[in-house]
Amino acid sequence: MGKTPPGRLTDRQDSAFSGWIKAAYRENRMLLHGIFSVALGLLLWEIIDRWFNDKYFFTGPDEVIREFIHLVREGEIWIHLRYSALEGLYGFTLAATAGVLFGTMLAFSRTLDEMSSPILIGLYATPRPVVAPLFIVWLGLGVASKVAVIFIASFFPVAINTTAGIKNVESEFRMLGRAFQVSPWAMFTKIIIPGSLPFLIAGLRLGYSRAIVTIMVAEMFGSEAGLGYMIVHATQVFDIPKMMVGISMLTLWGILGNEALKLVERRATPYKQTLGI
Amino acid sequence: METRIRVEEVAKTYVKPTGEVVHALSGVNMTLESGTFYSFVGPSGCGKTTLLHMLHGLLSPTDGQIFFNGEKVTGPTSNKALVFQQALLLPWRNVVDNIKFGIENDRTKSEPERQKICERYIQIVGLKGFEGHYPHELSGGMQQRVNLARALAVNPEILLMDEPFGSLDAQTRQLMQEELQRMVDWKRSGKIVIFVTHDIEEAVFLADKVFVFSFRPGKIMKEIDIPFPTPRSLEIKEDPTFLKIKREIWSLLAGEARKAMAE
Amino acid sequence: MGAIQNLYHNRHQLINGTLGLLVVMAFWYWADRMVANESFFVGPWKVLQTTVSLFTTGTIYPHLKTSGWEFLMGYGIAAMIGISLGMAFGMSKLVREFLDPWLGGLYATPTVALAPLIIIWFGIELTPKIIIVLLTAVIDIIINTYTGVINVGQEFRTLGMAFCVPKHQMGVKILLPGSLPYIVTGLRLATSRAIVGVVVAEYFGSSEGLGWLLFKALDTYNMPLMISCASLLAGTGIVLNQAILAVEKRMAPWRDTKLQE
Repeated sequence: MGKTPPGRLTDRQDSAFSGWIKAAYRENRMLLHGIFSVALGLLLWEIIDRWFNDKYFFTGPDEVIREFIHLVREGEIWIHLRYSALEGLYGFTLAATAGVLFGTMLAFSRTLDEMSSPILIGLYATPRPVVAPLFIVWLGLGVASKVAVIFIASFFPVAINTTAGIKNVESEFRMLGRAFQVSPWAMFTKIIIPGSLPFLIAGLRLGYSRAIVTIMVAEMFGSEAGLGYMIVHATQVFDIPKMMVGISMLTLWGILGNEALKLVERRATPYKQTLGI
Repeated sequence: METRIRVEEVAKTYVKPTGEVVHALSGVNMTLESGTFYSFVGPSGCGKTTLLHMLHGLLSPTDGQIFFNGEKVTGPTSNKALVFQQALLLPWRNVVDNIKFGIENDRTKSEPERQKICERYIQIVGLKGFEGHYPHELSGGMQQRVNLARALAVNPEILLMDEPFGSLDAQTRQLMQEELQRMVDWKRSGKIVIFVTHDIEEAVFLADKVFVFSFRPGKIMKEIDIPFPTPRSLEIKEDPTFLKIKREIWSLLAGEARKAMAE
Repeated sequence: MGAIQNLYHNRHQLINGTLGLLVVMAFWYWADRMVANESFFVGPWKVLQTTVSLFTTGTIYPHLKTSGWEFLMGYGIAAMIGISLGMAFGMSKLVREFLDPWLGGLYATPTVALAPLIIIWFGIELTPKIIIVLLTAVIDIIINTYTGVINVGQEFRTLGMAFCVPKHQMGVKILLPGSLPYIVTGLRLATSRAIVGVVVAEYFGSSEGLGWLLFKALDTYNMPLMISCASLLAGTGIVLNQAILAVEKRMAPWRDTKLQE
């Protein structure tokens, strides 16, 4: 280290080690602060828990982890995980595919867009806790009703973002296409598809987050198994640790999936900036 | 010199979404010869970009007609190319692939031939070494050079340029003006170059002939021949004859520019 | 000529939209005819009748009052807390660095999961329900306000500094007005979330309210009443959304509001 660290008046150098630490701190400040605050939060949680000391009322992180391990050993948690994962997977994949296809169609047909608009808005605006019980009545307590609710919840963000993306790209590069006499098909494959990719992925991220929350909501109203089911029943028998395990799992899925999609976004569209959250 | 383009009594009127009727151009007549660099200069809103688009075929005149090689212009064809004001590069493609954009559909050329053409023009616009770069990694001036290379790669007979240096800083602009003459060899290739700008100095510096436009409805106020041989170096901007021509055009445009400002 | 084109486009939208709705209504009516079981499925006419009777008999008013109060209080407090927190996030680098993971976590957590827990902790009075509504609504407001403040272009901050606006006034004089479009978007999205909050809160512990009525109807297989309540809830959501959307469009006509979820 031959340079004078900023803010120093003399040339006195740090020993190699402390210099390295300071540099590491400077570079990773954000990450370190984040980790620090999470650690602080966990500590606070633990303190509050010890203070309350009423297992029916509150529970600390150590309890949650212990409960998690217990559930894993018992094997119960796998049933719920598999059940919810299945719903989520089917629901989201269907929604993503249909959303992209339909979104594309809407972008090119104004008539279709105008006709379907009120219906889509109506369905989207109906709160999920209202739609879920309805589908349970119609499709039963099994996976099917949940898939239906998840589909409705995540279909719209995907479709809307796809449509907006396509329209955006089309208007931006319309003159370019005309000036170079690009055929409509070439315009679609060479310009519209790559250009609307960032919007599409943003829509997928949104749809995914909604899907995860919807798993919970849909199962809340009646299910055979699943994380949401586990959470609600745990709450009803005052099994807070189990409830916390369930919530943490769902949150984890949410974060992991979102980060995975962010990664895809970074790889596929290195020229666009990914949004922070 | 053959007459390549003939513009006869061209007028353009359009209606804004608010219902207002705009007379962009009226009664424009001109003949353009090959191997000549033309400048269109005038205040903002005088219709020069509209005329440019009509020459390319992107718009049709409300009145009158435009002939190229004796045939009426009905739409964009591959022997014309447009250099846009905004570079409008495809952000997901690198420099080479962006330049290739115009010639991709040309089935008369094989892939290695296209690659060669791209490399040649990268060299011409001075971007050798940047082939793999992406638009967001390039400066404004460099992006415009890619924009130009893309248009040149098509090897058009007519090169239409719509204020391509408008978004560049003053120094880059000066250098690009000088470089442009080297990059586009219009006299030898017989190209017609039409350069739209509102910068009088730029118009006089680059062109063999300047068309001065009035404010809406746009008409040609004067055609001025520029007596300097090309290519020109930047020092010529200090030349007394140069300054005289500049002053003449400014006196023509001063009133028109005020009308534009009053909008 | 242009003015007519503009008018035509809007009329076109209206005609097509109504057409689409009619198609769905017809389908619904036909489906109802097919499914004779009224406990299972019910047609639009019966739903309309039920809804009207709810109002004429006045049964709905106490429920509307309860749910309405839960919504207003929860949403109102969420707005105040959300905007303040969002601005704190946007203005202070320190806050961002420390609390960013919490925000991400909060966003990813299904807050509805906490609803039963809150009922257990605080009971089945009004307050816990307001808390639930608050929790569901506040996240969108925080995030959108945060985004808005960050996005208030560097130019505006420089403007403030150039005119010697003191630091503590920067927030109110420049950042708040500058990020207003984003804040309004957040407020709009929060309305739907708040409605969800109301419904979930009433599911887990209440004895009246629109949501409670819906679930009671579900339990007694009173389909017409159930769909009636559902439509009222959805309808409120749509009306609120469109109303704020209109304000949004006025404030910032250049923004593409559809993408701001």
